[in-house]
Amino acid sequence: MLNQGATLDRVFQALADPSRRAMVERLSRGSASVSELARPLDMTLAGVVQHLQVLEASGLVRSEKVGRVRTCRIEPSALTPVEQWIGERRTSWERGLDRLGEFLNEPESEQGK
Amino acid sequence: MTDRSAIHSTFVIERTYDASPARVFAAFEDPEAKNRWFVNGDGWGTENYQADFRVGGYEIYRGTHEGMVVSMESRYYDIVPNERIVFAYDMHFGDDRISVSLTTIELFGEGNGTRLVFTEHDTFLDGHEAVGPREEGSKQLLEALAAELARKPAQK
Repeated sequence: MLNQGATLDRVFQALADPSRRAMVERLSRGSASVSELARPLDMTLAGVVQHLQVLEASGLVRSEKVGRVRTCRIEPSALTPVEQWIGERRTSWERGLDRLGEFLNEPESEQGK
Repeated sequence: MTDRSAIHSTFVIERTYDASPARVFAAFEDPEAKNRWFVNGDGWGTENYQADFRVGGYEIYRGTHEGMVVSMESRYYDIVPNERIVFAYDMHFGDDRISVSLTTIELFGEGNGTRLVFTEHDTFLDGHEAVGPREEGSKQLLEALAAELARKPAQK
């Protein structure tokens, strides 16, 4: 759990910028080339590439260059550390309720009363 | 300076048990039974457990897990024998209150068994449960984004 601190920081940092959020939102609807990503944003291609580097460093986005085209796609599993610590509470109770089930399956003489 | 935040989460868990509602209820009401399935599980070292199962009663738990002292204090608000238990609890990691929660347990007899519905609302405070500092605005956004990404692909 301690190792997740750095990952979470990078993800939050990546999403702190509105242009990067717009890019992530676009990519959540499907992969796109760098120029496609740049189109709705009011910035140079170099600016987009810089933002992409931050997004890739956070693990939220992956890109691949084929020929002259760099294609980017979302990596939603990068968000799981955040969802995870919220979900841990649920998981903890799920395990407890599983143990309740095992307890109830024990012969009644062993359930103490 | 502490970064302040409150993150809300609600979940529902359902289980079906091959036991009557009375037996399931007893597993919550009887301290010896509860000790066996609730307290002593998951490799936690229990330091203190006190139970007072009645409306207005408190249940106190303190234990260690992976070097961390965790404590929970619950207060019972509603108890309908064999049917419903409602309690609220807070959780501390060391001296930090990390969350406050409201939990409802409902028992429905079905055939010879019981369907248990467990509904919980959690408020996670000040990011203690996650590690590392973060930017206030990004937090809310991240949740919204996670929800967005979890949806089926897109309209438009």
